[in-house]
Amino acid sequence: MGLGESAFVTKISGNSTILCQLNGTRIALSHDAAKNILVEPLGPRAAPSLMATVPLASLAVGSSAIVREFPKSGAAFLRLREMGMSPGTRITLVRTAPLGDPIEIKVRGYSLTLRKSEAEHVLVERTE
Amino acid sequence: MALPAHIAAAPTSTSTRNPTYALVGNPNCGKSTLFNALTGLKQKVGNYPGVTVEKKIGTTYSQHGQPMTVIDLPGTYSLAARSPDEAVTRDVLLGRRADTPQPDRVLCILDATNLERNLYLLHQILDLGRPVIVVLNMMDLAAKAGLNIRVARLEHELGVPIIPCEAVNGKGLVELRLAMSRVDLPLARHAWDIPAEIAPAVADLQASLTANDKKAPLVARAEALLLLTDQDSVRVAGSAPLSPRTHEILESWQKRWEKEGTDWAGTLVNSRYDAIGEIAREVVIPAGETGPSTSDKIDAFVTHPLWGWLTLGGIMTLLFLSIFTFAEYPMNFIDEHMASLADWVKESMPPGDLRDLITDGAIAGVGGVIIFLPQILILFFFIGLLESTGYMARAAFIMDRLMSRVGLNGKSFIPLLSSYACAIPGIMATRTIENHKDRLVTILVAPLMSCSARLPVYLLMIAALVPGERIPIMTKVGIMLLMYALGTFGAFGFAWLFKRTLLKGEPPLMIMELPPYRLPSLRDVVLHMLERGWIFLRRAGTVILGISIILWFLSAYPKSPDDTPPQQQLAQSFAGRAGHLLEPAIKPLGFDWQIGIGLISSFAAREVFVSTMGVVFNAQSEDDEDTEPLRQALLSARWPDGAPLFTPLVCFTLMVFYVFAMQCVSTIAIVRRETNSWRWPLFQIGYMTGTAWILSFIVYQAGRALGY
Repeated sequence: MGLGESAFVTKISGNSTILCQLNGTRIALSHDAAKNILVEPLGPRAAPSLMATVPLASLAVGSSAIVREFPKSGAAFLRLREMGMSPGTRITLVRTAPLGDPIEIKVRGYSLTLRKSEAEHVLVERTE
Repeated sequence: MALPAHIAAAPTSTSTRNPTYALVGNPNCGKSTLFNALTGLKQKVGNYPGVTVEKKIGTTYSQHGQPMTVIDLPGTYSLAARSPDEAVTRDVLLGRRADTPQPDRVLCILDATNLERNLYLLHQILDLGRPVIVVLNMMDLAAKAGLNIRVARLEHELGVPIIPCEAVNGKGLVELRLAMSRVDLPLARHAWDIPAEIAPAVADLQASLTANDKKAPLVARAEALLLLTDQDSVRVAGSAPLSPRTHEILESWQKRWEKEGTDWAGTLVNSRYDAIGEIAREVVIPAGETGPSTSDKIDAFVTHPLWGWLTLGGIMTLLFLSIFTFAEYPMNFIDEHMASLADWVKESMPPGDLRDLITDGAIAGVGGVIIFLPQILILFFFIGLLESTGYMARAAFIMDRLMSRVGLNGKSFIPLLSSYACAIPGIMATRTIENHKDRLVTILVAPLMSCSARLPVYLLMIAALVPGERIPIMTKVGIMLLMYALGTFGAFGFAWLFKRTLLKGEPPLMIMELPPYRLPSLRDVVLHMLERGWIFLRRAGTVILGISIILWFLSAYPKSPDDTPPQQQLAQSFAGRAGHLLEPAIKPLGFDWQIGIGLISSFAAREVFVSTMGVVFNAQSEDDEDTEPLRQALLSARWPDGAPLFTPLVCFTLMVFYVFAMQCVSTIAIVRRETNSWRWPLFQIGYMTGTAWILSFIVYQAGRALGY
């Protein structure tokens, strides 16, 4: 999958699974798998263009972003794309529900809700 | 400007004088309002054979007075269907359904306040090559939001007639009818470049679909594009699987793209949106920088950690009050009139079996059906208001986290909550749940939410349970709350269990639009309410009536001599014998055959238990409110060996039984209707009554062991 020696990898998030960016592809690793991979930390400034994309779920309320990457498969993502969230679209995180989940975003002029677990896999680039 | 080849080759608009129109559009774009405005009361609601999706067909009239059929297809965001409803829309448009021929023309409704997303569906529909009339609805709301839409420009870009409308006010309907009456409609200028990576695959698939699957060329092209939008080709094919050759071609292309790393589905969607984006830039002049809209302000309040909950609580309380109190007046009215009718028949007819069949069987049965109407109508009116204003989506948004803990989604909240009043409208309200597994689970557990019919049973048992004539109010409330809590936990527990085992599926998506708040259209809400009420009467009513007559028959026959008191008559009837037969099964729960008769009669309706006990223990009173004589009679009832029958433990056990047991034939009839088979109602009876028995057994035996 490209995670050989000397490969350049960026960690995006590390909740129940570890998400990292590698050569333009996103892969997910379990903690067990990641345990056996040794890396040399390069610091946050190392790959600025890659670091700029974050999961949608981690945006602050009220901030805007541009959608950059979508997982290639999965029922939710096709539907999200068909509803207007294609790469290059501008979105705003409006609020989270009182119980913490789901979140409401504004896209192409209307409001859409989605769960954090779905938003986790959509990568966006902050614009503010 | 030359038309693209595939459109130039399409047949020109049909010259039939009475074309069939399909009405399609996104959810929340005012489609039902338009349908109601066009067809008025000339609507018929039926079912698409084989699925639990409703078929709505209506008739409207052209400017010459010619009737035109309009099929109201379920709202969808895309032809890449995700739910049975959306699959029906797709199938009807593609001409796949044998029961519904492909419509001649399409009426596509767009919501002017969010044009881009709405254009996506239109873009797919234009692929079909059928004549399309676009209705640009909600122009008033767009104007309020400061959006300016260049309609003429849009018409030029798309090449189809565009009718601006405000369906709520009736504006634009005349122009729409005029457009619909036209004999010749221009074909769309749908010049859209399929991305280069995908184009050869589309051509291949189209060729194979035409040759091997026997599809018309335009339909084949639309289907080819669909196959390349949704990765699940089985889902796209629906009930008619692809021919092996087509499947082969699809798979080989998919494998090739996998290797090259091409995101083929995404490419297609993106390319459509690119085309749409260009059109939107020319056509929509956005409002300047506006502050938060009215909808935003309301939402800030409604989803607020404090005010949001209070609002939700307030609305739910109002919902309940309206069921419990407002419904009472019409319900009493119905009761009285049924009773007067029965009395009149008693006076007018000679005594005899036929008269009894009519008064105690048929009239009681019909009364038993009609008595539900006030609750159903009120609940649907309320739900219709919530839906129409847009609040319903917010309620689902707020409650989703809780619901997803058991594997459901926020949309199950209102149906389950309504079931506290009565499971029947609650179950009917599950239509909004798209995922059919989630819908089924919600239907299966809804009756566990203690409905209002159980209240008389609880009240009677509490009266018999607590010593002394005056029950402290806190004890009463406490025990009632306990029963409600048991039911609620049961419902959520079983929902979790079913989602884990029987009806295991993908965790439900919570991708939902939050429509802007709108003033409800009272006409639509009332029409919807009446439609639901009528469906209940027609479908469930027949089943309920039939079973009520059977139950009457069982308690009236075989007949004893005329001077036998009712108590003995009941004991000697089939129902009484059934009670005796049942006794060994319910004795471990502390119940005897007399209670058994009550359990059987509860199949008509749970609250009938109280009146049956009145007959069984010969303690009928004139006044329904006065349970005192009945309470005394229950407390003095004895087993053959002299031990008291209604000990506090037995009363408690009986309540637990009623929390879980599936009775109420009306609910069974509605579940049958909503799930389109007898399998699920029977399963429901099995699992619920089984659980009721087991839990009652545990409660009773444990209680005995503890010395109660």
